[in-house]
Amino acid sequence: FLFPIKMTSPRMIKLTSNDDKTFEVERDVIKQSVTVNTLITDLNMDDEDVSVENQMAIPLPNVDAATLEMVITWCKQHREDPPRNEEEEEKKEKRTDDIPEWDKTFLDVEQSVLFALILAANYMDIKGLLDNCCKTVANMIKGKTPDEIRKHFNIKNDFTPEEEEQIRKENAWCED
Amino acid sequence: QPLHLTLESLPNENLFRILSHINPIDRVRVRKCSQRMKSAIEQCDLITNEIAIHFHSDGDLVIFFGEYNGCLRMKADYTESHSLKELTQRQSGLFRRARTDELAINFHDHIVDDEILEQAIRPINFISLKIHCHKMMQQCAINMIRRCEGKQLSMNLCCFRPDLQMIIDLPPMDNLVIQSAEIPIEERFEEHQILQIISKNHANLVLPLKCYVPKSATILRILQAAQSNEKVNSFSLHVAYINFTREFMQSMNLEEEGLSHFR
Repeated sequence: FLFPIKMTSPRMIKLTSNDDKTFEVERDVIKQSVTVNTLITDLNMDDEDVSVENQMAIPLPNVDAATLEMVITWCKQHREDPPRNEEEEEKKEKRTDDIPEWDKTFLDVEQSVLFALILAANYMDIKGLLDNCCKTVANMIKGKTPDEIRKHFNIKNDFTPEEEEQIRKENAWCED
Repeated sequence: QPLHLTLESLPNENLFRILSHINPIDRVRVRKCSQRMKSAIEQCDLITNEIAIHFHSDGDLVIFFGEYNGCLRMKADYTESHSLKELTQRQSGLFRRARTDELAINFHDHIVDDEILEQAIRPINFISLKIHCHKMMQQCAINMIRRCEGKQLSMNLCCFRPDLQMIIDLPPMDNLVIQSAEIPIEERFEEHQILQIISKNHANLVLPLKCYVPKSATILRILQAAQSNEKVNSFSLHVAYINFTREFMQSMNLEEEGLSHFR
Protein backbone atom coordinates (compact mmCIF):
# COMPACT_ATOMS: atom_id res chain seq x y z
CA PHE A 1 0.00 0.00 0.00
CA LEU A 2 1.16 3.42 -0.77
CA PHE A 3 0.08 6.26 1.44
CA PRO A 4 0.19 9.75 0.09
CA ILE A 5 2.69 11.78 2.05
CA LYS A 6 2.09 15.47 2.19
CA MET A 7 5.50 17.15 1.70
CA THR A 8 5.34 20.48 3.43
CA SER A 9 8.19 22.93 3.35
CA PRO A 10 9.01 24.43 6.73
CA ARG A 11 7.07 27.52 7.62
CA MET A 12 9.22 30.59 7.04
CA ILE A 13 9.20 33.95 8.78
CA LYS A 14 10.65 37.19 7.43
CA LEU A 15 12.71 39.45 9.68
CA THR A 16 14.04 42.88 8.72
CA SER A 17 17.09 44.40 10.36
CA ASN A 18 17.47 48.10 11.13
CA ASP A 19 19.59 48.50 8.00
CA ASP A 20 16.74 47.14 5.86
CA LYS A 21 18.06 43.69 5.13
CA THR A 22 15.42 40.97 5.16
CA PHE A 23 16.10 37.43 6.32
CA GLU A 24 13.89 34.40 5.88
CA VAL A 25 14.09 32.04 8.79
CA GLU A 26 12.26 28.88 9.71
CA ARG A 27 9.43 29.40 12.17
CA ASP A 28 10.80 26.53 14.22
CA VAL A 29 14.20 28.20 14.47
CA ILE A 30 13.07 31.67 15.48
CA LYS A 31 10.67 30.37 18.12
CA GLN A 32 13.57 30.78 20.54
CA SER A 33 13.03 34.53 20.39
CA VAL A 34 10.23 35.34 22.78
CA THR A 35 9.85 38.80 21.21
CA VAL A 36 9.44 37.43 17.68
CA ASN A 37 7.27 34.58 18.90
CA THR A 38 4.91 37.00 20.61
CA LEU A 39 4.71 39.19 17.51
CA ILE A 40 3.96 36.20 15.29
CA THR A 41 1.14 35.15 17.60
CA ASP A 42 -0.22 38.67 18.07
CA LEU A 43 -0.18 39.36 14.35
CA ASN A 44 -1.75 35.99 13.48
CA MET A 45 1.20 35.19 11.28
CA ASP A 46 0.94 31.47 11.89
CA ASP A 47 -1.84 31.35 9.31
CA GLU A 48 -0.68 28.66 6.88
CA ASP A 49 -2.67 30.15 4.03
CA VAL A 50 -0.39 33.13 3.78
CA SER A 51 2.66 32.40 1.65
CA VAL A 52 6.02 33.75 2.69
CA GLU A 53 6.02 36.04 -0.38
CA ASN A 54 2.86 37.75 0.87
CA GLN A 55 3.89 37.75 4.44
CA MET A 56 4.73 40.93 6.31
CA ALA A 57 8.34 41.11 7.48
CA ILE A 58 8.83 41.59 11.21
CA PRO A 59 10.92 44.70 11.74
CA LEU A 60 13.71 44.49 14.32
CA PRO A 61 14.69 48.15 14.68
CA ASN A 62 17.31 47.46 17.35
CA VAL A 63 19.27 44.83 15.43
CA ASP A 64 21.60 45.36 12.48
CA ALA A 65 21.92 42.83 9.65
CA ALA A 66 25.31 41.40 10.64
CA THR A 67 24.15 40.79 14.19
CA LEU A 68 20.79 39.39 13.08
CA GLU A 69 22.59 36.94 10.83
CA MET A 70 24.62 35.74 13.81
CA VAL A 71 21.51 35.49 15.97
CA ILE A 72 19.82 33.33 13.33
CA THR A 73 22.92 31.11 13.06
CA TRP A 74 22.87 30.65 16.84
CA CYS A 75 19.15 29.85 16.82
CA LYS A 76 19.66 27.27 14.06
CA GLN A 77 22.38 25.59 16.08
CA HIS A 78 20.17 25.49 19.18
CA ARG A 79 16.84 24.65 17.55
CA GLU A 80 16.76 21.24 19.23
CA ASP A 81 17.52 22.61 22.69
CA PRO A 82 14.82 21.81 25.27
CA PRO A 83 12.75 24.85 26.26
CA ARG A 84 14.28 26.79 29.15
CA ASN A 85 12.53 26.87 32.48
CA GLU A 86 13.46 30.31 33.76
CA GLU A 87 12.43 29.51 37.32
CA GLU A 88 14.76 26.52 37.33
CA GLU A 89 17.51 28.59 35.71
CA GLU A 90 17.20 31.17 38.49
CA LYS A 91 17.66 28.49 41.13
CA LYS A 92 20.73 27.04 39.47
CA GLU A 93 24.19 27.74 40.82
CA LYS A 94 25.79 30.64 38.97
CA ARG A 95 28.58 29.30 36.85
CA THR A 96 30.36 30.31 33.67
CA ASP A 97 32.25 27.13 32.88
CA ASP A 98 29.25 25.48 31.23
CA ILE A 99 29.25 27.32 27.88
CA PRO A 100 28.94 24.69 25.12
CA GLU A 101 32.03 24.28 22.93
CA TRP A 102 30.16 25.38 19.79
CA ASP A 103 29.08 28.59 21.53
CA LYS A 104 32.60 29.24 22.81
CA THR A 105 33.92 29.18 19.25
CA PHE A 106 30.92 31.09 17.91
CA LEU A 107 31.31 33.82 20.51
CA ASP A 108 35.05 34.15 20.03
CA VAL A 109 34.55 37.46 18.24
CA GLU A 110 35.51 41.11 18.66
CA GLN A 111 34.10 42.71 21.78
CA SER A 112 31.86 45.12 19.85
CA VAL A 113 30.29 42.15 18.05
CA LEU A 114 29.76 40.34 21.33
CA PHE A 115 28.15 43.40 22.90
CA ALA A 116 25.92 43.84 19.84
CA LEU A 117 24.85 40.22 20.25
CA ILE A 118 24.03 40.88 23.92
CA LEU A 119 21.84 43.84 22.95
CA ALA A 120 20.15 41.82 20.20
CA ALA A 121 19.61 38.76 22.41
CA ASN A 122 18.17 41.03 25.08
CA TYR A 123 15.85 42.81 22.65
CA MET A 124 14.77 39.60 20.93
CA ASP A 125 14.51 37.90 24.32
CA ILE A 126 16.64 34.85 23.56
CA LYS A 127 17.71 33.85 27.07
CA GLY A 128 20.10 31.07 26.06
CA LEU A 129 22.10 33.32 23.75
CA LEU A 130 22.01 36.21 26.20
CA ASP A 131 23.26 34.01 29.01
CA ASN A 132 26.12 32.53 27.05
CA CYS A 133 27.21 35.97 25.79
CA CYS A 134 27.15 37.38 29.33
CA LYS A 135 29.06 34.39 30.67
CA THR A 136 31.66 34.89 27.93
CA VAL A 137 32.16 38.52 29.00
CA ALA A 138 32.20 37.49 32.67
CA ASN A 139 34.96 35.00 31.89
CA MET A 140 36.96 37.86 30.35
CA ILE A 141 36.64 39.79 33.62
CA LYS A 142 37.37 36.96 36.05
CA GLY A 143 40.73 36.91 37.74
CA LYS A 144 41.92 40.19 36.23
CA THR A 145 43.26 43.14 38.19
CA PRO A 146 41.49 46.50 37.73
CA ASP A 147 44.30 47.60 35.40
CA GLU A 148 43.97 44.47 33.32
CA ILE A 149 40.18 44.87 33.13
CA ARG A 150 40.58 48.50 32.00
CA LYS A 151 43.07 47.48 29.36
CA HIS A 152 41.00 44.56 28.13
CA PHE A 153 37.80 46.57 27.79
CA ASN A 154 39.39 49.90 26.93
CA ILE A 155 37.99 51.55 30.05
CA LYS A 156 39.34 54.95 31.04
CA ASN A 157 40.19 55.42 34.70
CA ASP A 158 38.20 58.58 35.46
CA PHE A 159 38.67 58.56 39.24
CA THR A 160 40.46 61.40 40.95
CA PRO A 161 43.42 60.27 43.10
CA GLU A 162 41.27 61.01 46.18
CA GLU A 163 38.41 58.85 44.91
CA GLU A 164 40.82 56.09 44.03
CA GLU A 165 42.26 56.14 47.54
CA GLN A 166 38.76 56.09 49.02
CA ILE A 167 37.81 53.04 46.94
CA ARG A 168 41.06 51.34 47.87
CA LYS A 169 40.25 51.86 51.54
CA GLU A 170 36.67 50.64 51.14
CA ASN A 171 37.81 47.47 49.47
CA ALA A 172 40.92 46.76 51.51
CA TRP A 173 39.07 44.19 53.55
CA CYS A 174 38.73 41.63 50.80
CA GLU A 175 42.00 42.16 49.05
CA ASP A 176 44.48 39.35 49.45
CA GLN B 1 29.44 46.32 13.21
CA PRO B 2 28.68 49.05 15.76
CA LEU B 3 32.25 49.80 16.78
CA HIS B 4 31.19 52.26 19.49
CA LEU B 5 29.84 49.46 21.65
CA THR B 6 31.87 48.90 24.79
CA LEU B 7 31.32 47.20 28.12
CA GLU B 8 30.67 50.58 29.70
CA SER B 9 28.14 51.55 27.06
CA LEU B 10 25.92 48.55 27.72
CA PRO B 11 22.62 49.38 29.42
CA ASN B 12 22.52 48.60 33.14
CA GLU B 13 20.21 45.67 32.58
CA ASN B 14 22.82 43.88 30.47
CA LEU B 15 25.78 44.98 32.54
CA PHE B 16 24.10 43.63 35.70
CA ARG B 17 23.52 40.31 34.00
CA ILE B 18 27.23 40.07 33.18
CA LEU B 19 28.27 41.13 36.67
CA SER B 20 25.92 38.60 38.22
CA HIS B 21 28.23 35.90 36.88
CA ILE B 22 31.34 37.12 38.66
CA ASN B 23 32.24 36.61 42.29
CA PRO B 24 32.44 39.37 44.91
CA ILE B 25 36.19 39.69 44.68
CA ASP B 26 36.13 40.21 40.92
CA ARG B 27 33.28 42.64 41.45
CA VAL B 28 35.44 44.65 43.81
CA ARG B 29 38.06 44.80 41.08
CA VAL B 30 35.48 45.89 38.50
CA ARG B 31 34.31 48.57 40.94
CA LYS B 32 37.81 50.05 40.92
CA CYS B 33 37.90 50.45 37.13
CA SER B 34 35.87 53.61 36.51
CA GLN B 35 32.96 55.71 37.73
CA ARG B 36 30.58 53.89 35.38
CA MET B 37 31.64 50.46 36.55
CA LYS B 38 31.60 51.52 40.21
CA SER B 39 28.08 52.83 39.83
CA ALA B 40 26.98 49.67 38.01
CA ILE B 41 28.41 47.41 40.71
CA GLU B 42 26.77 49.45 43.46
CA GLN B 43 23.37 49.45 41.78
CA CYS B 44 23.73 45.82 40.80
CA ASP B 45 24.39 44.83 44.41
CA LEU B 46 21.17 46.47 45.44
CA ILE B 47 18.87 45.04 42.85
CA THR B 48 20.07 41.54 42.11
CA ASN B 49 19.10 39.64 45.17
CA GLU B 50 20.22 36.34 43.80
CA ILE B 51 23.85 37.33 43.88
CA ALA B 52 24.20 39.66 46.82
CA ILE B 53 21.89 40.91 49.49
CA HIS B 54 22.25 44.30 51.10
CA PHE B 55 20.20 45.12 54.13
CA HIS B 56 19.77 48.77 54.91
CA SER B 57 18.40 49.54 58.30
CA ASP B 58 18.07 53.18 59.27
CA GLY B 59 20.74 53.93 56.75
CA ASP B 60 23.51 52.63 58.93
CA LEU B 61 23.58 48.97 58.16
CA VAL B 62 24.90 47.36 55.04
CA ILE B 63 25.43 43.65 54.68
CA PHE B 64 27.00 42.07 51.69
CA PHE B 65 26.24 38.43 51.21
CA GLY B 66 27.38 36.31 48.34
CA GLU B 67 27.99 32.66 47.74
CA TYR B 68 30.27 31.63 44.98
CA ASN B 69 32.26 28.48 44.50
CA GLY B 70 32.17 27.61 48.16
CA CYS B 71 33.15 31.09 49.24
CA LEU B 72 31.05 33.30 51.45
CA ARG B 73 31.97 36.86 52.22
CA MET B 74 30.09 39.11 54.55
CA LYS B 75 30.58 42.79 55.10
CA ALA B 76 29.12 44.86 57.90
CA ASP B 77 29.75 48.55 57.97
CA TYR B 78 29.34 51.14 60.65
CA THR B 79 26.68 49.37 62.56
CA GLU B 80 25.61 49.39 66.14
CA SER B 81 26.20 46.28 68.17
CA HIS B 82 22.56 45.53 68.68
CA SER B 83 21.63 45.75 65.02
CA LEU B 84 24.50 43.50 64.03
CA LYS B 85 23.43 41.07 66.69
CA GLU B 86 19.89 41.09 65.40
CA LEU B 87 21.12 40.68 61.91
CA THR B 88 23.36 37.73 62.61
CA GLN B 89 20.41 36.03 64.26
CA ARG B 90 18.17 36.85 61.34
CA GLN B 91 20.71 35.59 58.86
CA SER B 92 21.78 32.46 60.65
CA GLY B 93 19.43 30.46 58.42
CA LEU B 94 21.17 31.81 55.37
CA PHE B 95 24.54 31.01 56.87
CA ARG B 96 23.48 27.46 57.56
CA ARG B 97 22.33 27.01 53.99
CA ALA B 98 25.52 28.43 52.60
CA ARG B 99 27.73 25.79 51.12
CA THR B 100 30.81 27.56 52.21
CA ASP B 101 34.25 26.68 53.30
CA GLU B 102 35.59 30.18 53.41
CA LEU B 103 34.16 33.10 55.31
CA ALA B 104 35.36 36.65 55.22
CA ILE B 105 33.86 39.17 57.59
CA ASN B 106 34.48 42.87 57.38
CA PHE B 107 33.57 44.80 60.48
CA HIS B 108 35.18 48.05 59.41
CA ASP B 109 34.94 50.59 62.21
CA HIS B 110 32.53 48.54 64.20
CA ILE B 111 33.78 47.59 67.63
CA VAL B 112 33.22 43.89 67.46
CA ASP B 113 31.57 42.18 70.32
CA ASP B 114 32.96 38.73 70.96
CA GLU B 115 29.55 37.14 71.41
CA ILE B 116 28.23 38.62 68.17
CA LEU B 117 31.19 37.43 66.21
CA GLU B 118 30.80 33.96 67.58
CA GLN B 119 27.12 33.97 66.64
CA ALA B 120 28.03 34.97 63.12
CA ILE B 121 30.46 32.15 62.57
CA ARG B 122 29.00 29.38 64.73
CA PRO B 123 26.66 27.88 62.09
CA ILE B 124 29.30 27.77 59.42
CA ASN B 125 31.43 24.77 58.86
CA PHE B 126 34.28 26.87 57.57
CA ILE B 127 37.84 25.80 57.12
CA SER B 128 39.09 29.27 56.41
CA LEU B 129 38.10 32.46 58.18
CA LYS B 130 39.18 35.94 57.25
CA ILE B 131 38.42 38.82 59.55
CA HIS B 132 39.01 42.44 58.70
CA CYS B 133 38.58 44.87 61.52
CA HIS B 134 39.85 48.27 62.43
CA LYS B 135 38.89 48.28 66.05
CA MET B 136 38.60 44.74 67.18
CA MET B 137 39.08 44.47 70.86
CA GLN B 138 42.18 42.60 71.82
CA GLN B 139 40.40 40.04 73.96
CA CYS B 140 37.88 39.43 71.21
CA ALA B 141 40.68 38.81 68.73
CA ILE B 142 42.34 36.36 71.09
CA ASN B 143 39.06 34.53 71.72
CA MET B 144 38.37 34.29 68.01
CA ILE B 145 41.79 32.87 67.36
CA ARG B 146 41.35 30.29 70.09
CA ARG B 147 38.01 29.21 68.63
CA CYS B 148 39.59 28.83 65.22
CA GLU B 149 42.33 26.57 66.49
CA GLY B 150 43.15 23.96 63.88
CA LYS B 151 41.45 25.95 61.11
CA GLN B 152 42.80 28.47 58.68
CA LEU B 153 42.61 31.97 60.00
CA SER B 154 43.54 35.20 58.34
CA MET B 155 43.12 38.33 60.40
CA ASN B 156 43.58 41.67 58.74
CA LEU B 157 43.68 43.92 61.73
CA CYS B 158 44.31 46.94 59.55
CA CYS B 159 44.75 49.91 61.83
CA PHE B 160 44.62 47.68 64.84
CA ARG B 161 47.92 47.56 66.67
CA PRO B 162 48.12 44.08 68.05
CA ASP B 163 49.92 43.54 71.25
CA LEU B 164 53.01 41.62 70.30
CA GLN B 165 52.52 39.30 73.24
CA MET B 166 49.08 38.48 71.87
CA ILE B 167 50.61 37.19 68.66
CA ILE B 168 53.32 35.35 70.56
CA ASP B 169 50.70 33.62 72.71
CA LEU B 170 48.64 32.30 69.80
CA PRO B 171 47.93 28.57 69.79
CA PRO B 172 49.20 26.49 66.83
CA MET B 173 47.24 27.25 63.66
CA ASP B 174 47.07 25.44 60.33
CA ASN B 175 47.35 28.68 58.49
CA LEU B 176 47.89 31.97 60.23
CA VAL B 177 48.09 35.26 58.37
CA ILE B 178 48.19 38.38 60.46
CA GLN B 179 48.33 41.63 58.62
CA SER B 180 48.64 44.89 60.38
CA ALA B 181 49.74 47.91 58.49
CA GLU B 182 50.23 50.16 61.40
CA ILE B 183 52.54 48.53 63.83
CA PRO B 184 54.77 51.52 64.50
CA ILE B 185 58.42 51.01 63.96
CA GLU B 186 59.24 51.55 67.62
CA GLU B 187 56.97 48.60 68.43
CA ARG B 188 58.57 46.31 65.91
CA PHE B 189 59.29 42.73 66.66
CA GLU B 190 62.51 41.80 68.28
CA GLU B 191 64.31 38.76 67.01
CA HIS B 192 63.56 36.67 70.09
CA GLN B 193 59.84 37.48 69.72
CA ILE B 194 59.75 36.23 66.14
CA LEU B 195 61.59 33.09 67.18
CA GLN B 196 59.00 32.59 69.91
CA ILE B 197 56.17 32.86 67.36
CA ILE B 198 57.84 30.38 65.03
CA SER B 199 58.35 27.92 67.86
CA LYS B 200 54.55 27.77 68.23
CA ASN B 201 54.25 25.35 65.29
CA HIS B 202 52.00 27.43 63.05
CA ALA B 203 51.96 25.36 59.85
CA ASN B 204 51.70 28.32 57.51
CA LEU B 205 52.61 31.65 58.89
CA VAL B 206 52.58 35.19 57.54
CA LEU B 207 53.74 37.86 59.92
CA PRO B 208 53.11 41.58 59.76
CA LEU B 209 56.60 42.95 59.72
CA LYS B 210 56.02 45.78 57.31
CA CYS B 211 57.85 48.23 59.46
CA TYR B 212 60.43 45.80 60.64
CA VAL B 213 64.02 46.16 59.45
CA PRO B 214 65.80 42.92 60.21
CA LYS B 215 69.49 42.38 59.74
CA SER B 216 70.63 39.54 57.49
CA ALA B 217 71.85 37.56 60.52
CA THR B 218 68.38 37.89 62.06
CA ILE B 219 66.67 36.64 58.92
CA LEU B 220 69.07 33.73 58.84
CA ARG B 221 68.29 32.73 62.41
CA ILE B 222 64.56 33.05 61.73
CA LEU B 223 64.84 30.80 58.67
CA GLN B 224 66.87 28.29 60.66
CA ALA B 225 64.15 28.24 63.31
CA ALA B 226 61.51 27.73 60.64
CA GLN B 227 63.61 24.99 59.04
CA SER B 228 63.99 23.10 62.29
CA ASN B 229 60.26 23.14 62.88
CA GLU B 230 58.78 20.14 61.09
CA LYS B 231 55.24 21.54 61.10
CA VAL B 232 56.21 24.65 59.22
CA ASN B 233 55.22 24.04 55.60
CA SER B 234 55.33 27.58 54.47
CA PHE B 235 56.73 30.66 56.07
CA SER B 236 56.53 34.25 54.90
CA LEU B 237 58.07 37.29 56.41
CA HIS B 238 56.46 40.44 55.08
CA VAL B 239 59.08 43.06 55.60
CA ALA B 240 59.64 46.50 54.22
CA TYR B 241 62.67 48.71 54.00
CA ILE B 242 65.11 45.96 53.08
CA ASN B 243 67.26 46.47 50.06
CA PHE B 244 67.63 42.92 48.83
CA THR B 245 70.92 43.46 47.06
CA ARG B 246 73.19 40.65 45.93
CA GLU B 247 75.48 41.57 48.82
CA PHE B 248 72.66 41.33 51.32
CA MET B 249 71.63 37.91 50.04
CA GLN B 250 75.23 36.72 50.00
CA SER B 251 75.72 37.92 53.56
CA MET B 252 73.01 35.49 54.66
CA ASN B 253 74.88 32.63 53.01
CA LEU B 254 71.72 30.56 52.55
CA GLU B 255 73.40 27.80 50.56
CA GLU B 256 76.00 27.02 53.18
CA GLU B 257 73.32 26.92 55.81
CA GLY B 258 71.23 24.51 53.74
CA LEU B 259 68.49 27.13 53.43
CA SER B 260 68.70 27.87 49.73
CA HIS B 261 65.16 26.58 49.18
CA PHE B 262 63.85 29.64 51.00
CA ARG B 263 63.00 32.36 48.56
